[in-house]
Order: sequence, then C-alpha cells, then structure tokens
Amino acid sequence: MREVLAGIETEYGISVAGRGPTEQVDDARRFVSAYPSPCFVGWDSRFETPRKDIRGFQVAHLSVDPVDAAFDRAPVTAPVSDLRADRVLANGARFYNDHGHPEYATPEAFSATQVAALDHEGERILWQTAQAFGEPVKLFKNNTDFHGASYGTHESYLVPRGLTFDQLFAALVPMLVARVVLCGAGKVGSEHGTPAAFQLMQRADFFTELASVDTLFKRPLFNTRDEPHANPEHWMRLHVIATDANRIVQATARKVGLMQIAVALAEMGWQPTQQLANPIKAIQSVSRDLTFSFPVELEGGAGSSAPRILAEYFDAAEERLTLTPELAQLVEECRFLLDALDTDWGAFKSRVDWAAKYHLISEYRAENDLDWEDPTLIALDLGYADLDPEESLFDALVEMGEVVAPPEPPLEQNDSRAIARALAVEHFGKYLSGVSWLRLTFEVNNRTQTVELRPDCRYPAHALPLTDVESFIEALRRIQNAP
Amino acid sequence: MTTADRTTRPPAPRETGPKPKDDLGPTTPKIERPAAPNPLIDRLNKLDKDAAKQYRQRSGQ
Repeated sequence: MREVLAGIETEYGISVAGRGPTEQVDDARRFVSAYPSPCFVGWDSRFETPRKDIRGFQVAHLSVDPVDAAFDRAPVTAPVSDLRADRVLANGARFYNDHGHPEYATPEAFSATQVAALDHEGERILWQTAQAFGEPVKLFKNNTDFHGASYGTHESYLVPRGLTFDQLFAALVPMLVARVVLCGAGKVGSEHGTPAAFQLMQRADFFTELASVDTLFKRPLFNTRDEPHANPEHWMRLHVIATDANRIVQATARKVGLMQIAVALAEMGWQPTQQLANPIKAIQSVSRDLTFSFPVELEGGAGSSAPRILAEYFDAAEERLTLTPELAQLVEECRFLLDALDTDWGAFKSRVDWAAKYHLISEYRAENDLDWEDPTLIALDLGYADLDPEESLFDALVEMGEVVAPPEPPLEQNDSRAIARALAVEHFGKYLSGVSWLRLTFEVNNRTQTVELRPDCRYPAHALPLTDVESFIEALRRIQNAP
Repeated sequence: MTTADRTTRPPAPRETGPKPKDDLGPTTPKIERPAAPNPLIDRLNKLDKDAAKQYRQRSGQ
C-alpha cells in the first residue's frame, strides 16, 4: 500500500493567571513568542486559501461563532504582522497563535508511530515554553472548556486528487465514527443536546455538518478547505476535524493508523458495506453510549454497531492491503482492544484515554458520593489534560502503571519532507526568508532561491549535505525534480 | 484510591443525579494497606476543585 503522509495540529487550552478569554489572543501570542529554543520566524502564508473549497467553489467569508466574537474587544499589544507569532521549529513543526490558542502542528511523517511521537514532543515543547514564559500559566491538551467553547485537534492526510469527495466520504466516514470507541479522549458532561454524564469524545457535541470549509462555527467532520500543501494537480489534503487530543501516545498512533488504512482502502476503490444513515447523529450517539454496545443506524434502516464497522475495515485491510508491519500490528492491537472492552477492562482502560478517564472519575465519584453534575468531576477531567507534570492526573496514572507509558521513540528516523525543513532551520536559518509546508525560500548571494518540498518523496537526513547552503539547496532540487 | 482496585467496568450512569445507595453490590472487606506513596492521591488532594468554574476559553477551529 502507498504510505500515507500525515500530521496532527493541536490547539492547546491556555489560562494565564488573572486573565481571561478577552485577553487570550494576546496571551497566546506572547506565550508562543516565549519559545526559548532556536527556531525560524517568518512563516510563508502567501499561498494559503482558507475560503477556497475543495469541491470547486469559494465562499465569500468564513462563519464565526457570534458568542466568541464578543471577546474580540480587547486591544492586542502587537502589530497584526506579529499576531500569530509564527515559528518553525528545529524539528520541522509549526508553532503559532491560532485564534487564542498556542497551536503545535507536527512535522509530517509517513509512520503513524512517528506522527504520535512528534505529537507527544509537542507536549514537551509547550511545557518548555511555559517555563520560559515568566508568568503563571496553565496548559491543557484537550478540546473544550466545558462551557460551550471548543478548540481543535485536526489530522491531515495526503490524498490523491483523483479521488472524489463522494468516494472519500463513503470510505472514511464510517471509520471516523467507529474509531471513537478506540480513540476518544473522554469528557465529563455535555455542552449541546441532551444531557450526558460522560462521553467518549470531547468534540462530538460540536459537529453539525458532514463537510464544510468552516471550522470555527457549524463545525464539520471534514474541513474542505482546498490547501493541499502540495502540487494541486496531483494531491489534496484530507483535513479531519472529528478527532480529539489524546494523552496516551499509543492512542494517537492508533487514530492516525486507522485513517491511513481507510485512505489506502479508499484508493483501491473499497468502501464499507455499512454506510451510516446519519453520521453526525451516529458520532454523537456513539460518544454518549455508556452501555458500551455503540449501536448505529445504517442507510436503509438496518442496525449495526461501531465495533462491527471497525471489524469490516480490519477484514478488508488484511485481505486487500499489503500492510506495513506497523499497521498490521495496529490492526491486531485494535482487535484485541475490541475484545478487551468486554473481557478485560483493565487492559482496555490502560490503552484508551476515554476509558482511563471514565474509570478514574467513576471511582472518585463513587468514593466521594458526588453527582455527575458536580463541577469537581470536570476539575478531574481538566486535571487529566493538564500538562504540568507535577499536577497532571494523566501523568500520575502513567507513573502508577494504570495507563501505558509512552513508547520509546521509533528507531527509524522520519524521512518525510519535514526533515528538509528541520535541517534548513537548524543549519541554514540565516539564509532562510520564508518557510511553509511546501516551500523553503533562501536568500543566497543576493539571489532568492525557492525550493519545493514534495510530500510524496523521501528526504533522508543522510542524503542532505550540511556542508554549505548551496549544496543543501541543490540536493533538495534533485529530489524535487525526481520523476 | 487506586484505580487498580477495580478491574471491571464502572456501571453506566443510569441517570444524572445522586449516586444510588442501594446498588453497590457486595462490599469488599476493609483491608489495611501499608502507607505508600501514591502520586494520584497526592494530586487529587491538591486538585483545585473550582478549576472548572473558572476555566473559559476562546472558541478555536
């Protein structure tokens, strides 16, 4: 199978002592600006097209959340050009202020395990920045403030332009809904719709559309912004909004690997026979089903369940794809977890965020005789997401062996185009004048040189000379021009 | 509290509201355990129970 390039963006929750949402855009800008390690400042956003829809049209403006817009009154202490505080880090990641949230976008990788390790590295980078910030600040890797404001974790996958959106939806939407059982981050309560004591997914309350170019309001499962970050004749970016921020690194790898499998199956023209009657309703009902049977209604009115849908994907993957060892192991792990959900709760809750959180909070609630509405339980939920290693309940669970520890970083080095970006920042930063996902622009001997980084090519570090900038650029061009 | 005390799934909440007193099932005997460092209890004791009331964020993507 073609290995599918992937990446994750996470907007972190941020709370600076004595400040609130009105000042949050400025706080996030100041926070990102405090990043203490070498980086490149100068993100090249010239080719970004947030209003262009991949389905062939352009919207006049993007929708905004009217409640949130009321916070836009506060003055910002920086020029507009510095509002995002965009940084390109020495690992090839992007770190910036996205609408009041410090956002860490991982370097791209072909391996789900590597994407997960790079996402985990983001937690360390955020915490390192907190130490340098100079003000008391709390950081949360989650997706909600429990009062109706949600902020995203997104996944991106490189997909051939030849696939139609109908093909993609048919092949991927059932997976997006069903994988919540194995990948949800868990949440106390609900913020829209009927009340719920606990949910599997942090974001389920906030989806109203299947696909849309909007992301701030009327949130979709898929964002259709046409920004391939690649040659648009050949590629598009599948931008998945329906995902949670995971703390368990293996869960991050699981969600990426499952989507890579679904994309590979889509490329073969496969789609599951089990198509959902109403994907939005289904993701919300799976998220709220604490009987753990996860029923869903299929097109035509028949019934099924999230585990049965996952099983159909696993069978197809094993029959039709030449799975990499990593993805073959992932399918095996997922089958084990679906079985463990009924037979070995201890194993299940040690590997799945929502289950670890649900177990912890249920135990605490039982011991303290609390209502599910008691705000203390939300404080526990926040404690799970807290990045402070001295206060994080997640870190305590890892320390006690209740939750699996992060795996050792993969032995194989990332060899995606992110390596070229990383090496450029680390070794040739003084020559750089612009960096984006697709392009590096250098100023060498009063000449501007732009190189495109192909998303489908490999950029192994050992093949990129670091002796001088011109040899480095030449090596990048050879890869760019390869057939 | 150690979450290892229970290896079965917690029961699904039947409804929101106070926890029922009469469906706890058989009780386990009280066993005195030696005091040992428990990072979870330490952190739960330090937990700011009002954190949820104060935590407000801008909507993101």
